[in-house]
Amino acid sequence: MIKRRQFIKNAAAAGLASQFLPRMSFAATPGAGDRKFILIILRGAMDGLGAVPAYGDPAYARQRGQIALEQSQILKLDSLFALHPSLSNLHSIYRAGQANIIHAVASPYRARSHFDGQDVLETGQDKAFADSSGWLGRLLSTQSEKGIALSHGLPLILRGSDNGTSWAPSRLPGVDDDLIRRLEKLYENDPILNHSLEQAVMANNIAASSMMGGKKRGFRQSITLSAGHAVKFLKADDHVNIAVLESYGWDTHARQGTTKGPLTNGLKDLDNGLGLIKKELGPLWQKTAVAVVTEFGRTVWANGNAGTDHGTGGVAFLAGGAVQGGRIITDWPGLRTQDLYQERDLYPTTDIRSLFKGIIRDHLMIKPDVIEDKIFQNSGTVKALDGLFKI
Amino acid sequence: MKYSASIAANRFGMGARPGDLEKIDDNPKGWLDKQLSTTPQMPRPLKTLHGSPAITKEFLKLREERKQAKRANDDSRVKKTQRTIRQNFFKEVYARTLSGLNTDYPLQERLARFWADHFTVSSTKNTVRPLVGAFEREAIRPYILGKFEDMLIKVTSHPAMLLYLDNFQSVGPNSIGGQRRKKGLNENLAREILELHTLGVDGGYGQADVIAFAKVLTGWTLSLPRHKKGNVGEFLFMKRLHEPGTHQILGKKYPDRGAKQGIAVLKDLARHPSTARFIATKLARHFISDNPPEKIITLLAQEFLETDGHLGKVMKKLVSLEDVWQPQPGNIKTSEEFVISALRGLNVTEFTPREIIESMYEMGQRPFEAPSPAGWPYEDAHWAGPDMILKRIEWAQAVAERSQITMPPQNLAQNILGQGLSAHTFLSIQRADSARQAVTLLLASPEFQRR
Repeated sequence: MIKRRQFIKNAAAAGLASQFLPRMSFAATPGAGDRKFILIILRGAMDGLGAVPAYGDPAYARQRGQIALEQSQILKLDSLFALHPSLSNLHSIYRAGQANIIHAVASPYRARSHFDGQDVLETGQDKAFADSSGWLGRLLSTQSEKGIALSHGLPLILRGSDNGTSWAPSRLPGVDDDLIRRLEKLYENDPILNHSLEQAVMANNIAASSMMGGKKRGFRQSITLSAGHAVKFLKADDHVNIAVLESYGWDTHARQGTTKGPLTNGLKDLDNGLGLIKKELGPLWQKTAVAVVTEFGRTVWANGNAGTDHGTGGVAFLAGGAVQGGRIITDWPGLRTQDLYQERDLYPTTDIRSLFKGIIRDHLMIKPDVIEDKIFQNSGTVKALDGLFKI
Repeated sequence: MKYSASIAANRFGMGARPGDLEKIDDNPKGWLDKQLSTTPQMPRPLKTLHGSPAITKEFLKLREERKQAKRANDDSRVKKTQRTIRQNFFKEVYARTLSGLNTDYPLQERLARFWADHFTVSSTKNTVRPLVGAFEREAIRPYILGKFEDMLIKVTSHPAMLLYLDNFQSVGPNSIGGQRRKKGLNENLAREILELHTLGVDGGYGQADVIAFAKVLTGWTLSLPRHKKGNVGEFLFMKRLHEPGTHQILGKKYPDRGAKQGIAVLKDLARHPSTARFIATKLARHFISDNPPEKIITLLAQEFLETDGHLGKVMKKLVSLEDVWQPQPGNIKTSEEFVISALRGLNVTEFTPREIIESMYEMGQRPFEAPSPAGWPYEDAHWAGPDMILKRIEWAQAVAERSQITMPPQNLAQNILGQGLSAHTFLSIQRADSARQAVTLLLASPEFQRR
């Protein structure tokens, strides 16, 4: 049996009380209004202890060994946790009380396949390949606003609704309205192609009307670049309130480095993206939540090549002007070998769906019964995280 | 059963060229069977490319040159070496594209690409990039109609795979090298062989099997000049990195016999019922639909087991099933299949490697650059995603502008889609306002987007 210590960390003691107050109930449930949600999926399993080192844990330096960060390198959050030096934008957002860090978090998936892990993260079910729709897709089907992925394909998380679409900038010549009308006719008998075309035209119309003036640019799946496009979509159209960004390259099996290397590069890109989102959203930042998630964590210690192998518990971030932040939300399991999951991975103590439920209930204003019946079915024991948002 | 030439050429080939359907119309199934009975052909454009040892040596030399040029602050020399590295890669892409365009054995070409995807090595890793083409030529193409275990062993011992999934640097903690140096075990290759290459994620292995298998595979590396052993750029078993002892995988004990220990494990994995089912499922998904009928998976898995994983025989079984000859709608083509079949159908031969790479990049499938060891997605929902479809239409329009067709577009449609062409699409093409628009509609049509 693993003994767990309760570490609910508060940046400001003053914030403590309000966090545990019962939520006010309103006679009429307010809608999401103009609230925006950006979800960033880090594919390949980000090393949670690399991004958010538990430097104050007595076992940290010993267990991490050559991939431990020095005290002089890190951006401290409190006496236990710190951020990787690349995450300076996130650090200042956190300091401003607009970001929470959720540590030792995992989906209900417990094996170590990327592909099953991402499937569970995106479907919101408790096992892989149990659903062909994603939880954000199911959410979209309960509302009239649209969700957009800054990708070529439509990621699983947005599938399952007519309100989900994808868009990526193009260097190819545009298609005129006459051809579109002919294509609509051509696709009359092919529901899949028909639907895709309709969604693409919708996204492209928004893009054409408001954002892609000037030179078109090539598209790489970097968070920094797709963040810029996501912001434009969210600002351009009141009817787009959800954006999904995907990033690859987090599977750091070898020489992941401490302050240089692939993990650092990925974190820098993520941090640039977060900074850009805050800056470019302007006043809309106050109504925005950005969640950063990955399919699972990585081994606590380095493997034979100064990298980390697939693990379990990891880290998620929640940032935004709407966020009641400055906290590290964790039931910290500890880093001694006997504290670890299967004596190798950070023990997961928070179900990532409780974060998702908290976001969609308190930020996107989805009613609890809708959440339980339509979006996260069969997850009644997973309670939404309370107090993540200011109002 | 009436076999359709259109299905043979489009579902099982690289797409019909004008005139192809006419040639195979009298015996479409026989045309496929014949390809499955012929020794795998090495496409002519690939024959002149170098093998892994030569490529590795040149790459190491170029890297050294670049390092020295950087040290000397010689920008033009740095750029020159980078350009050579890039051009070598372009040559690979160009040759592979030509192989797809000109092949007279399109089913063999499809299988080569299917298996290269099953055993993905991706140029997302810089050190793997120079070798991705050689990997396909050396470890995939010769084996597509033979025993699965032969391909599995060749793939697992190929330098590109050992680099891509990190095994080249995995060291047994109790080996001589492990005792002396700081390096240790790396689970990556062992896990992905079990999960992605053989048993499948639910195939019945656990974390302990992954670790034991990773130990078995320690010492499997490629020869580099610093080893002063073996031939540079070829497989090398380094006993001093190999974890000694007997290891137990899936309940069976494997005594330490050096590299033979790993081969014994791979042979058992290749014949495992979970592997048979996993491979059967992937083939059925690829050639039939995202959710193939259970009875087909069972039949193919049975054939796999009964023939000791003879891939040619499994494919013959597949093309003998009535279900695979059902008309549309078939799977949505991948972007690569779409581009190659479009160029074949329109008889476009003038293009540069850069144009191919950029086209594929826009349509989300850069050559040799799968996003993960699982290869490219197979789902229709991915390849028919909204942005993907719009990009394909935009690209079709750009290609239509350049193509010089020699017959009316509606005749061309009949010529390459045959019986697969619906009256609805035929009319749309016929009513187009220009040849450009007509060809765009042809390439965008459901019949052409699917196979």
